[in-house]
Amino acid sequence: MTNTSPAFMLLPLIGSLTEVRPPSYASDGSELGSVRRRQRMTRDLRGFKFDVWATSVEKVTFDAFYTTDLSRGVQSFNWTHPDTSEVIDVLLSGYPDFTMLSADLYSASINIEEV
Amino acid sequence: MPQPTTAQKHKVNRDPISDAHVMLVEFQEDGQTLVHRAAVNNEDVTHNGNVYSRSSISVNLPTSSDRDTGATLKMSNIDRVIGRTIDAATKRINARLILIDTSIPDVAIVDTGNLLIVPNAQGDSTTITMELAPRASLLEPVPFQRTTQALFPGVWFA
Repeated sequence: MTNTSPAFMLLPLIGSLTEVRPPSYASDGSELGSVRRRQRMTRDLRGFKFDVWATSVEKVTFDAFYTTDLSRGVQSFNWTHPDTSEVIDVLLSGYPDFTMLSADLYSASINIEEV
Repeated sequence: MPQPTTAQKHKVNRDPISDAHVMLVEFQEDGQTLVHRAAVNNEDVTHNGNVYSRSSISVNLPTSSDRDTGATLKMSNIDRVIGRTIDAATKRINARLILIDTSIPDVAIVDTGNLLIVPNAQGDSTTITMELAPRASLLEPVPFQRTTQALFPGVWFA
């Protein structure tokens, strides 16, 4: 079964979207300043970090998605990159931090990792 | 045991190495046909038609002593595959290490064959820690043959 993320997770609505790529190579350094590297893995696994607004209804939708569809974060899901429209199979790094700003308004910090 | 070519030896000593060298690990209970295959990589690797599942495996080499040499191998047990295999095993578990260059994934640079065994293992729901020992430590009769460098994978790095 392939899960698809809720609509409000498709756009980073607050601030920017950060993409990180942990190095897929082994590296050493020396006090002489030279660095040697070799390729260790065959793939780059990206990570994405962004914040979104969410209403109370969207939070309830997300909670159901997280609990049921994702089996509390165990299952991966399809997330669409907002710029390239690339569909990426990702896992949530953890339950997002939901901060209630006012009645019916939350901000959520979402961290996802490519699998 | 494949003999690495001069070109392969040269490549592993080169800087940078732009094609990943990936270690493959096979586990098989003695006498069973089922082989569990793992690759130390972040995606699956196909070697000679067999798919090796991506895994996190770290190997610690022992300090020198007058006991039998045995490396320690620590790997993920999240999917419980290796944990169940060890738990259900009634005979010894054979291990095999293969090193490949991902640009030519079907050619083994190092292949220990069936020369390694897992004499003991312990673990929990997330990791399995096991010892890797040479089959020679079983002190069982082995077919007579001349000892060659091919029986000692470490000399490949010499």
